[in-house]
Amino acid sequence: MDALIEPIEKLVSLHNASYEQFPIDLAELQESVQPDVEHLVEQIVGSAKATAVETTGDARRAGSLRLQLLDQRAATTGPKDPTLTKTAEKQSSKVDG
Amino acid sequence: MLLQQGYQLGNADPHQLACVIPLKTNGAELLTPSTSADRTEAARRRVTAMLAKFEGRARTIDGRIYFHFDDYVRWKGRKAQCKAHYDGFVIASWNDWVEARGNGATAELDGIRVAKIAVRVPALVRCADSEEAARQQCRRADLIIGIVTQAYNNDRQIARWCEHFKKTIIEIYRIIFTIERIRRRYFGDHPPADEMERGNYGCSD
Repeated sequence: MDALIEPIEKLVSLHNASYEQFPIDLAELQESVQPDVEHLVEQIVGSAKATAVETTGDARRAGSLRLQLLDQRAATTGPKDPTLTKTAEKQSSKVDG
Repeated sequence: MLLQQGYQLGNADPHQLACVIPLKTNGAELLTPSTSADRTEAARRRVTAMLAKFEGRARTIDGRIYFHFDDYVRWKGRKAQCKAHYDGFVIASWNDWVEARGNGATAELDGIRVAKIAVRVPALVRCADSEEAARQQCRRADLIIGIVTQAYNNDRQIARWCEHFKKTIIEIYRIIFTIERIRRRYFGDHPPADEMERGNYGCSD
């Protein structure tokens, strides 16, 4: 992780030296992303779980998991993507149909 | 004169006949047209006094004094050290020659077809009447004021760029921290893939 962060720190250090009147506080930026990170982890892991469940043949449960993810995403980022919702609902109701 | 006083002259309008705009002095103080008005006026008074010493031919047209170009160039007291003569030919003369020798648009010169030269930056703008001239002057002044205002708002542009930069950093952090959290939570002490590839974590008995 340090190898990825180091170039950013160097770049921002150059910026702060050149534009003293417009400083960038990296600690503040790091702090600001923390709430998003937990949400993203849940989305990524949840999506991986849904895919894994789907490979076992349980399409209904996979669809249900995806709907849950979409609900979570909508709660934090805004309205659901209608295309994704439709796909998940279709998958979720496949067994019922 | 302004240059001698430490001013930098703005190049917002590259037109040779455009008025120069004193933007900064010694790169430290930013002058706006309103804050520099007094200093510009004082400089104008000094220039007027200096030009009063000009002894060459001059004519007053529409209330403005015009000096004879050759007399001004020969004047030892002139401050404007611009290049007075350029090598080349007079475009109007060339175009007249093409007009006379060719079919109106092109002519043949030593076996080569040549055309008229378009004057891209006309030194003199032809206007039908004084109203049109006033309109064109107003349009040009608006353009120049717009360009100069943009230059004065440089800080605002940097601030805007800075906000974009911050957003980009936030996006990168979001990705890096997410990957790191997943790695720690679900893969325990497993090393990152790049370290595996470098062979730092070989299997041992």
